[in-house]
Amino acid sequence: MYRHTVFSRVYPGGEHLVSFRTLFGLLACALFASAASAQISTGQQKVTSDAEKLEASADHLARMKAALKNVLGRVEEARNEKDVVKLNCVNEKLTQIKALLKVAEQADISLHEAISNRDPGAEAEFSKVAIARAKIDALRGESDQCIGQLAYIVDEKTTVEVQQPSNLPDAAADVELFAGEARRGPPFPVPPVVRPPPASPGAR
Amino acid sequence: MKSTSSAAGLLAALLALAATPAGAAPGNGIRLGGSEGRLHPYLDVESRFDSNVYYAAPPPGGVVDVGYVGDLIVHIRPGFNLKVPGERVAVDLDANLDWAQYGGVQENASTDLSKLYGAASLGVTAYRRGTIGLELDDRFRRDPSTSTFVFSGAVISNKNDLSVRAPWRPGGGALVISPSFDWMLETFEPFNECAPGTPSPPASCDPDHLSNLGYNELRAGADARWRFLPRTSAVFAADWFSRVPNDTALATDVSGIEARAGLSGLVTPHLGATVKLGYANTLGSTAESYGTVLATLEGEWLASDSARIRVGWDHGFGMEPDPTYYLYTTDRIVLGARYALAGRYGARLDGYWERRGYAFVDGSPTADLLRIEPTIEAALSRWINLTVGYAYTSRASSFSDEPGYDYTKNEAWLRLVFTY
Repeated sequence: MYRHTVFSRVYPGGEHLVSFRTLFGLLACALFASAASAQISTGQQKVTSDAEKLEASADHLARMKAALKNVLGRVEEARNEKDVVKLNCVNEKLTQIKALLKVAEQADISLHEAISNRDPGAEAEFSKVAIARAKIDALRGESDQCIGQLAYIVDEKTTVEVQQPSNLPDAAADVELFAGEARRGPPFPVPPVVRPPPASPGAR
Repeated sequence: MKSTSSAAGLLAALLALAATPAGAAPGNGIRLGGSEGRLHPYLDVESRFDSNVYYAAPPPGGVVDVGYVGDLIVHIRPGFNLKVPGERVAVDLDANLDWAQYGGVQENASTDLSKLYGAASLGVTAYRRGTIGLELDDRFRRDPSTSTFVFSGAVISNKNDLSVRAPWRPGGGALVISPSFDWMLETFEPFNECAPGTPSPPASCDPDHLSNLGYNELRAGADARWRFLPRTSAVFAADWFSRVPNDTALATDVSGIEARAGLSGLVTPHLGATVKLGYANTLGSTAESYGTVLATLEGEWLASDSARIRVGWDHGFGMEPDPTYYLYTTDRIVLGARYALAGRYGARLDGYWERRGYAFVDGSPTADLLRIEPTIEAALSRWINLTVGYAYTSRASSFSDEPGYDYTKNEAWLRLVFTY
């Protein structure tokens, strides 16, 4: 009796354990699965040829370095402002970005070697670069959030300027009482004068 | 002349073309070209009753019987305000004309006191956040109000005050060092004609005499502010000053140095204070050596975001355009209370007391001034502001009891400002 199952029994006559139809089906699934995986790892572009892989890897590295430069700028900004909280926050992101960039640069070198040796490991090295870029992009965004979280803390460095109409009734002006124009006192009253001459001969 | 007027006409035409109304609603102003600058034309109308505009001169040889005369004065002030904000350069320009019309309510003769005044101010700030910035301020004012106490009556003062500062902010702005230069020019004109038959007219109504009492005052120095806590600073200021009268026979040339150091800032979240101590000396420029301690004490209670009270005392010195009463030591007390309600209404109470003690004069004469001024403000709409106020003024002098030196007055006013 013949039963069509995925893993068929071995017949004494030397028939295959797995049917050909089943084998083709599995192969097709594996191919589709690997293609999907490649698309996820490379972001939004499908890289097929070796030349494209090298070009895309170089682009990823350039963008990662730009992100590093951007976050370094934020560290410098926080250092100038002597804001320890802000500095710690951005430094944490910077450390991770540096480590990821190191990994990506090493993977880029390995990618070049693999391609020149026609080594199938090129795909894995390229994936490393792409993953590092995705993570660095996320960290750069987090460093922006880090600044954003601190923006509402009003201290001597972070200022919020509100321009309001000058003619509104105000609670007070933030100037010292005896500084600037007030140094000489407020507008003084007009002293009385001796009776002015009459406007016309008939007037009193 | 013709080319100048043509150029002015061309400039006016260009400005008119560049001006595009950003929003039709009054209060928004007129946007200039594509810039952030906005021009706000305004009209300020004030009706003020002054209980003591002038006094009747006693007849020659008659008994001194001062009859104070009050009047209603209507001020019409058309003007404009131009504000151009910016990080690199910010400009604030304000100018207005002021026609003061005396109503002749109690006596017709006071209508002759009606005159045209004016005021203008220009502020230019460059690189506000830069390591080195530049601040230029110029204020001009022509009005019958002057800080000089030696005149026996009102005079018209034309005063221009130019100030240039260059703040240097090394290391992010916690420390600001600002070299500065100030030039003040004041000239005087008679407010009214001398009463007929006056044997020796006082300086306040003598145009020739007054024109020679004008002066230039120069100041050059620097101030430093170190903000060692978020809202607290150590301050230091020192400058050299020189007051140069137009005619040294009628007023004395005084120059010297002054310096102050102290602290200013918040003591608690609701209490602020300023304490400064210093010294001034005329460095032998006066007939006798003169030096005085300078002191400032200020306290401020921040009851809430919308209410606060400030009180301050200051001990300093000043100069007057007079050959005898030319240098004085002054004590001033200032009170300021503010209350804002809903961002549309406000109440203020201002108080000011000053005593000037004249140096180098026998008998140590003094002159006192007291002024109490409560006001209520209301923003009726985005473009209409209303102010109702009252002021009581008392002036006394130990060296003279003439009505120009010793008087009281009550003022009440209603003011409306329409701003486009």
